[in-house]
Formats: sequence, C-alpha cells, structure tokens
Amino acid sequence: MEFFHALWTQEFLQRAIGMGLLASLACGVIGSYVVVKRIVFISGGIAHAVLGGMGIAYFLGYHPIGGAIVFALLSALAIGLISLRTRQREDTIIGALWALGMAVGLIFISQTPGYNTDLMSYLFGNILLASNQDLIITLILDCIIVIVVLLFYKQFLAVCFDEEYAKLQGVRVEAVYLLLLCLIALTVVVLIQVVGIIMVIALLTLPAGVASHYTRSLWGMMIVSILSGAFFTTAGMYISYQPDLPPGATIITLAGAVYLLSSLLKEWRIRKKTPLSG
Amino acid sequence: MNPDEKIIDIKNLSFGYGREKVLENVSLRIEAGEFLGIVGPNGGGKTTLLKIILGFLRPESGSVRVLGKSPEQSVSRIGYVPQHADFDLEFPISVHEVVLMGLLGQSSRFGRFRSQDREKTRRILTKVDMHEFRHRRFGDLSGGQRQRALIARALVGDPQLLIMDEPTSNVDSWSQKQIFDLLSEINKNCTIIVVSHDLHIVPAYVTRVACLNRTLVIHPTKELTSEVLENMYHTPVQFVDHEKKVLESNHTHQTDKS
Repeated sequence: MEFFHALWTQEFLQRAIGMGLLASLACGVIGSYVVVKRIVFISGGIAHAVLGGMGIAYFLGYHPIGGAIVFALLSALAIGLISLRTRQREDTIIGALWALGMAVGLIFISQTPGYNTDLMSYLFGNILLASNQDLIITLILDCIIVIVVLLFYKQFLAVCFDEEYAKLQGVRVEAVYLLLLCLIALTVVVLIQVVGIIMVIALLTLPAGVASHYTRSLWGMMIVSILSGAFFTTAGMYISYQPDLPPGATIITLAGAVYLLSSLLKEWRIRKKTPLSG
Repeated sequence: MNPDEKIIDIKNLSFGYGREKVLENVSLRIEAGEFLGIVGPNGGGKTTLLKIILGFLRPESGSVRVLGKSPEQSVSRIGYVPQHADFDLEFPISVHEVVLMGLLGQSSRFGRFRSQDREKTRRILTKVDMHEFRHRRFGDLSGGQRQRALIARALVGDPQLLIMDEPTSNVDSWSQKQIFDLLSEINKNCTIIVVSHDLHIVPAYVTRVACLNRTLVIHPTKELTSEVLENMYHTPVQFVDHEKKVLESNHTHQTDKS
C-alpha cells in the first residue's frame, strides 16, 4: 500500500511509471521485429556500442541521451552496412563494435572530471531518476518509432519474413533493413534509461518472447508484448519499492521468470497435443 | 509486350561462382502458353538459372530477355514460388498476409494494403482452395497447403510468367498431384516454368522438358521417357548412358567431358 501512497504523492515515482509505460510501447513494437527476425545479437551490439556515445557526450558536457541517440544510429548503420555490403563475418563485427563502444565509453567517462556515479546508471539504468526532459525525449522517440512502423508495416513484415520475395516486389530491402536497425537503435536508447545498457536485450526480447507464445500475427504479438512490457515495468517497480531493490534488475527478473514459465507451459501444451513417439 | 516476343529468350548464357562454371552456353526460348519443366541433378544450375531469370544474379556472358525486357524490368510481372524449405515456420504470419505480399509492388507505398488488394487476395485463395485456411499461421499448414499459399502469392499479382522452384519437395504424393493439376489449370492463361527433380510427375504435365546439368538440352515430352530422365539424373555413370540414348534419338547434345 505504501507504494500506491507514494505513487500518489511522489512525482519521481509517477515519472518512473510513465517512463516504464513509454518504454513498453517501443520495446513491444520493435522487440517483436527483433525476435521474429532473429537479430537479438545485433540489438545487443548496438546497445553496448551506445556507451561510447554516452561517454563522449558526458565528457563534452552534453546530455548523455543525445550522445546515445547519435551513437546508436551510427552503430546500427555501421553493423547493417558492413553485414550487407562486405563479406566479413557478421557476428565478429557485432562482437567488435559491442566491446569497442564500451571501451571508448569507459575511457571518456574516466577522463571526465568529477563524480562518476552516472556510469552505474548508464550500465544498469535508473528509472527512478527519470526527469521530465527524459520523459519528453522518450515520448518523441516513441512517436517516431510508431509512425515509421505504421507507414512501413507491410514492407517490414515482408523483409522480415521473406527478403527475396520482398526484393522481387520492388521493395528496397537494404534500405528497409537499415531503417529497421535505426528503429532498434532508438528503442535501445529508450530502454537504456529504464534498465541500462547491460539489460536492454532482456527488455527487447522477453516481452516479445512471451507474446510469441500466445499470438499468431505480428501485430497481435506487438500488442501483447506492449501489454506484457507495461506489466513487467510497473509490477517490477511495485515489487522493488518496499525492499528497496534496484528497479531495473527487478523488472528483468520478473520478465525472465514469466518468460521461463510461459515457455515451459507452451512446451508442455505442445507435448500434450503430440505425444512423443519413439 | 510485342506479340512475337518470346516469354523468355536466353542466348549463350554462362555463369559461375568464382572459377567454377555453373552454367555454360545455355540457350533457351520459351513461347507464351508453354509449361516447361527443368530437371537435373543438385548443383546442376537449376536454381542459378532461375535467379538469373528473376534478375537476382547477372549473367557473366550471353543475353537474357524476359517478357521482351531485361530481367530487372520484368520482375514485377513474374510470379515466383521459392523452395519452401527456406521459411521460418515459427514466423507469426497468416496465410492471408503471405498472399498479400504478392501485391506489395502494386499496392500503396505507405500504410496498410488497400481494400481491393484484400479482395483480390480472397479471390485467389478461393481459386487455390485455401480460403478456409486464410487465418491460419503459415507455419502451421501442411506442406501441400503451404505450397498452395505460395502459389496464391505468386499468382495474386496477375503475372504473365509463373516460376516454381521444386514445388513438390516436402509434399506428399497426393498433394503433388493436386498441385500439378492446379498448375495445369493455371497454365491456360499463364506460362509456367517448373524446376523439379520429381521425375515421375513432371513429364505427365509439362509441354517440354529441359535437362540442365551445366549445359541445357531440351526434350519434347512425347519423346521423353522417364527412364531417360532418371538415367540422366542419378549418377554420372548413368549420365553417360543418357547421353548415348539421347544421341540415339537424334538430339544434338553438347556435354562436358568432366
């Protein structure tokens, strides 16, 4: 009950809940693409490379989210173009950018004079510190993501399901794929503010993973994963409030537990339907 | 398209991946209304030839005209059914949505598909007998049903040429017959090319058969027994055997010595 009382009176908690809900929108829509297109690893690479941008922005005295947006977009385009245009192994490139971004970020942060607690909140998120400005930035990013997806829903679906046929239909597959990676980059920036760089992949995949167990279409998957994302962030904050647990970690633990249960349940239902023979 | 233009006109086409030649000096003309079967062993260049016709690959030498134009210019008037072993069967997409994809090139650029696109999709699904399955997830269908859905996707844009890559792999024999019956029906107003290694069923339906193993030889089906085909197909030893038979039946036939 204390949580609800605090929610009524404490603005920081209202902002945190609002941030969680806004983040659920982005992670539900884009996380669904990440899961069905099986590009979780790319998303992880973008997320970690972003620390480079945040570190540089921090060093230069800009808002770290600005640096994060720029770096996320750059690393998304770099990963996309290198994997599309060159014969390098895609997973090696992703691994390289993943670590390189973090290294650059750490160097810049270490050279920034003053107090370095911000590093922890970049890595592990601190939704309770969300400012009004953060909320507005997130709202704008959400709007961009939703508008682009509404405009290009059929192209995204075609490119994710069957690239070759999309190309045959005159879709500019490379451009659509790069656009999708850019949207993933923006989503990563949104999610970093909630759960931090390290745990972005979890929020990008777990709600969509749960949704995939109960839906048969992509848009259905998006809706269910938005709802489950909203549940995870809100319930995670509720659970973490009284014992003063880190909210990001609590959200992820809850999401992971639900995903695991849901997977087991799905597996059990499949086996019941088709008994294993032999 | 000019009335005396060929549906496909390939002259002296060669193609290789690296140094390895996959297609050598292939020439092929296809008239409107034909139903051509392309058979040959794995690695014989069948899929490569299709990819060149579809404009995914460029020939090293030789010329390729499709519907009187370059492959890239004609691609929107070709219906294509890929080998369906390549699909992610976990993907959350309904049969209806799969078929709509065949109208992507003609529909509005932004936003949803138009209502006439949906209407057209419903009609074509009825034609291939898949209307009752339209809300099913594509991955939940049987092999034969999936193939029908993919044929519907290829046909929904009213193509002048339908190209199918191994339409009967992963499909039980009853569905195979159904699929070929459906193709015969479609053939009444659409030229068809089918790539298949299914030697028993292809000759019964097609008007001509092309044997492709780096080089290409055309056989009118009436002169072609399935024995000839099987001989050509299975092993290199029997391939020599095939060559002999073909020569006996007065086909000109250039084969590599390898």
